[in-house]
Amino acid sequence: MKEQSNEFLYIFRGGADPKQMSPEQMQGNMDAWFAWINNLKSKGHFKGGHPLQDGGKVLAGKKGQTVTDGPFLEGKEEVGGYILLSARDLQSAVELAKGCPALEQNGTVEVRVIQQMEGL
Amino acid sequence: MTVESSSKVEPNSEAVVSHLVDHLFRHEAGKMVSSLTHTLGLENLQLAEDAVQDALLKAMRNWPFAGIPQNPSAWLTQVARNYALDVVRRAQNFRTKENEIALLLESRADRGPQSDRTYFDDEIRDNQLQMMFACCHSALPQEAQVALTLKTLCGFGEQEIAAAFLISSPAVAKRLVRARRTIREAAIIFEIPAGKELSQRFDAVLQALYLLFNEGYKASHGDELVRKELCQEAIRLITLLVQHPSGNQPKTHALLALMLFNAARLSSRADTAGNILLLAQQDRSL
Repeated sequence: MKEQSNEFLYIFRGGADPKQMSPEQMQGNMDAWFAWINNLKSKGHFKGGHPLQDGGKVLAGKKGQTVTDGPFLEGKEEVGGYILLSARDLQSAVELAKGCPALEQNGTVEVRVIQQMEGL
Repeated sequence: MTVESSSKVEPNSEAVVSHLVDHLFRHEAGKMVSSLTHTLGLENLQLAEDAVQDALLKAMRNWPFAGIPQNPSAWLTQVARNYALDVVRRAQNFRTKENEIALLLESRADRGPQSDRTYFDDEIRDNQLQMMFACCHSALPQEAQVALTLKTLCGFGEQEIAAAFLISSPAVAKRLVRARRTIREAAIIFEIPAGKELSQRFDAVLQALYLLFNEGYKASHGDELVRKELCQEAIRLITLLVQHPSGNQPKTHALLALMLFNAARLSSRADTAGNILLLAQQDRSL
């Protein structure tokens, strides 16, 4: 039986440096994200999601004994937010991601398929 | 302090506004920097600007997900105050004035956005005028006055100011840093001056606003959109001035009239290729 899932995760990385943005540019960026997410919502794709604050902690070691401020040295690597969405298949999830404003600012969108529990 | 725990303004997810008023961030930035500086003192202008930048950044990141708050201005103001309050509480150099400033910030944060609307609007306008007198102080070179006015009162970014004056962003940044330092060193007070001082300093303000307008009006360089915005900002600021008893003088009205008169033909002064047209050649319907 072919494994089928219609749930996906968008992971946003990078984008413009907000410290360099003017209020006008921030409003423009806000509008673009608002329109894109609203479109996902109105078509029933959006199932949840949040922006993430800068920084955080990373645990490592078998007992989590190594706690660091994380590999957040390079802004372009840092995850800036995520969205959980439903779509027909991976290809349409990828199509929907193409309008993401992060891309305009040299950010990336990673699209992942949520692994569904089977056989129960 | 987090946005969530302290903000009394709940996002209104049901009646979501589809888009914000044009230039809302830019104009709110000008108002917020002015009113925060009123509380923090001019020596902390940079902190006021940082707090505002932080609030706009949080809005940019959160609103697309959570929805635009019912009162965007109140939300922004509160988040900016929280940031300032955090810094004030932590910073060593605030120690002596710390409590006083913290109390002020808190009492303002507690005041609901709807309470005593008229008084509140007057206060915001007055704070912007105080900022105008500070930015256009004669201790600052004139080009710094205009740059600082654009940054603090009009919410322009360094790149946008650079585009307006056809200079580099780093040059603008340097100009602003020097201007803030001068303001601190000259111990300029955040006030609307009175008496004899008023008329002297008033002229400096009018002159800077006239320069700002002129920078926008001259067709010799810069891109058209930027130029138009500079004219609009000059008109917006001088209108604030006219509305205040101290600014309500014949020469203010005269300058406003001059600006409006020239701005009326702004859209028709050039053809599509950017060539200047004589009045007789202009499209009068524009």
